[in-house]
Amino acid sequence: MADVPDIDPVPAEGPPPQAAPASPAAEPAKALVAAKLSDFSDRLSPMLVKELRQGLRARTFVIVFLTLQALLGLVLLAATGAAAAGRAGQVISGIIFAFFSVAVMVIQPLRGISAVHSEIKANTLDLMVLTRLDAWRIVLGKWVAIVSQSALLLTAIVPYLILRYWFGDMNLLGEMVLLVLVFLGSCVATSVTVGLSAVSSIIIRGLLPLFGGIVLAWCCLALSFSRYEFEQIVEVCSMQDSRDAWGIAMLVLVGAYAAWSLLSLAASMIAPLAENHATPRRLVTLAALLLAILAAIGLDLDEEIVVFLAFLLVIPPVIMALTEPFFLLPTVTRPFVRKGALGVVAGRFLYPGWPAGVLFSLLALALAGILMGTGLPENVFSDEDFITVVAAVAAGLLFPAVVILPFEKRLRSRFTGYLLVLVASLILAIVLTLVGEAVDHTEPAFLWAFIWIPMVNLFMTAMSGYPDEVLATVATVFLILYASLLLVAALSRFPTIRRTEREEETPQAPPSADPGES
Amino acid sequence: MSVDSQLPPEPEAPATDTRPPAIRVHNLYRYFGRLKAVNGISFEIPHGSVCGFVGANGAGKTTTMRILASLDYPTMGLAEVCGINVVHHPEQVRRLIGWMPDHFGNYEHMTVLEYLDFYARAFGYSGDERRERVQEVMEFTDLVPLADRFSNKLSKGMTQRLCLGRALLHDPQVLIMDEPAAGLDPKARVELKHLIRVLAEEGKTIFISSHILSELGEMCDSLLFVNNGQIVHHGDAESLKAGTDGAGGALFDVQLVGDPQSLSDWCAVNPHVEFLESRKFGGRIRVDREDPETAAGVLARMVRDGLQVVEFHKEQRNLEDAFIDMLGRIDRGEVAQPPPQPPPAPSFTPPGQGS
Repeated sequence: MADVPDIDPVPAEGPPPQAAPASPAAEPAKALVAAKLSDFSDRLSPMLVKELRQGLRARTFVIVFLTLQALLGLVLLAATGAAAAGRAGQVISGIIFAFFSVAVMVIQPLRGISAVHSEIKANTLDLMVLTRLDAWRIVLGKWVAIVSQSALLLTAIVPYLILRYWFGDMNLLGEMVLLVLVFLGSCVATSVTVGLSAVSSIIIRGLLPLFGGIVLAWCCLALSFSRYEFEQIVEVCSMQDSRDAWGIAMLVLVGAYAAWSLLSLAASMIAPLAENHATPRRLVTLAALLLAILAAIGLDLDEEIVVFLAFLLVIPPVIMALTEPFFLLPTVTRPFVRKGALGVVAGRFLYPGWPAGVLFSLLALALAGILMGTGLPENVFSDEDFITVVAAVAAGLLFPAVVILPFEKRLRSRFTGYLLVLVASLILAIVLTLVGEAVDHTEPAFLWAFIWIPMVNLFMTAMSGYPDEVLATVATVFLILYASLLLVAALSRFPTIRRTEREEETPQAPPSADPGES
Repeated sequence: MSVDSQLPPEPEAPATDTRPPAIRVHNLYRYFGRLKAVNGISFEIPHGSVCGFVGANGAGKTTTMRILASLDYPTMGLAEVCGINVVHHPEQVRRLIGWMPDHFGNYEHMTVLEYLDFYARAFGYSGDERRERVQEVMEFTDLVPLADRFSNKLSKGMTQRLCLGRALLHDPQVLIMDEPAAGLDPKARVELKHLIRVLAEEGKTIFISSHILSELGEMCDSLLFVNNGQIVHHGDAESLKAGTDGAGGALFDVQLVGDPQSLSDWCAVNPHVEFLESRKFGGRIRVDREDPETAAGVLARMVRDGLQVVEFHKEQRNLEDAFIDMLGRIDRGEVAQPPPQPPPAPSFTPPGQGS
């Protein structure tokens, strides 16, 4: 067997590039380099160090940081003067949360819009992936850098909350928990922008987060300045009811799951084909769904939480699974093949690429159905509206994948194509419904012509004139139809998968040269 | 300490290199839709050699280099670096190569020192080793005076030195450089050439593309010429000059006193000499043999036959002329391009090819 080349990242042998002869100034220069390169510990991720070095000098962060400080200072000064008027404390809390939540849930996450794409555009991503940083570490580093700056903002407002305490009437635990939840919300929102930043389409990468940011900012301001709503939220956050505590715990877990899913999306978009991100993502999804089913059996979860869990656990991974490009390498299939027939069967659900993604999606949707079956009371399933909503949402997830099937070879990005169809079908459904309501606000007949679009079916449910049982039946029929079409398309790609499973790793290379065998 | 380590080292016996070639490309294809960017090329580059990669814009140079750097995927075929398949084991290949792209952006708010430090960390160095590595590379590429300058405020030449420094941080065995001299002023070009020479002397394999053929000719052990996604020549600079010199022989610029027409008339009646084009005071001729004796004989015959020759010198053809000559001959069908070998069965469904 021929010598396998030394692939140590820091080769022990072989001289480093010859340095220029040492000048008298070399030693001081060396000391200077040593001093300047000791600002961040080696334990920190290289990406985090890079992003912090850049981010802390970035104008956006400095402006947000200083503006927040100035505004909060002003508010506290003004409140001190008006303290005698009573309830000043809660007003201050509202204002602090308003500024803070907009800063960390909207402005900071929006900085992630171009996190990965700017590297792609500047050709610097290539340079990064050629190091020992894998795609996941690159994306995670981007995310952690923004989140750590948000954490800096969080610590910066703590002194104001301490001052606010002296104004009295403070639900200390509730406000502290809310503060942490806002920060966690910022983490999730940042994962959305960073996760989508690897997408080439500006509509998805830029406009969607921007639109979401505007909506989120409006929500933050409305909730913070509405005294009643704000008090209600703080009350829930104080977790005096165990159901509230479970709800918050669930929210945190689901938030963490959503953040992980989105970051994983970006990582898989920039990773080489030999890096398999799909399998771990799908395994985590299946595990999360099984845990949720167990939780639904063992705990007395609210119906809303069960439905929320079912949709949130299943929607992101299904979208990703249905839109993954189908490039399969023997290096990816080999670990499955080695596990025998069981591994090969598992591969049909877990291999990267949309054909296995279709099978996985159907399995995940079935598990979500089981979750609802175990967590919801039986009478819910006799409600046709509920059936229609669930079937239409599931069909709505499959529908864009069916639409893009004929354009598969022309599409540069399945993910972009899928999302554009999804958004377009949503907009179309809204427009058709509005037009329908203008024509006949109970039962506009022309909407039946568009009922094959699941979103239209969903909106028709909200209108009073349509027969519920017909809508439910139609939604179920289209769900089965779309699932069948995708299944047929996926099964037609399985011979390619089988070929890859049988293929030797490097057919044209001398066997001895293949390090995979050594 | 073992006994072996106390013995004097044995003289190294000359051994044949049994390692796989530093770069091996076999029947490589890369299609972008209908565009055949790389159309069945095959070549090998041995360890420790400098190979120039030459071709017109769009000839397939960058695509080939990106595939070798594991940044793109072949539609079909094999690409290996040090025997490792770039598609199947990109993470291993990436540790062996240093990549210099033709263009890349630099980071805002990051100094040269921090830039190199980031990549040193990313390559897995830590502590003193990391600092020493950055220091070494900065000294090698003469970046020490620029250490505190923001990396996006550098000139093109400085940026290329920084990029080279980054590519060298992990001491790669193979350097792949895509148009490193593009856009550089003459001074920066000379500096870069010097750095490449030093690296070549250290035994690194360097695969470099450039439009400046004369410089490639000076520093490369071999040249690969690619046209329309296919290799049209692989050899050293001299073989290219000889091989593209049409019917062979040597070209001479001849100047006369008197009627320039007399030169073409003379060529018409003398064997082994061909009149190529007329010039103000004479013309260009081709002598069908290259040796100096033949040239001297031709000159003596001209003088003997009454031509008043005032200048008779051999034209030194450069690589640009030779390359353009070769492309022209390919276009005219005088040189057959090597037919692409039948494509092998694809080992995976490639990007952009659907499923």
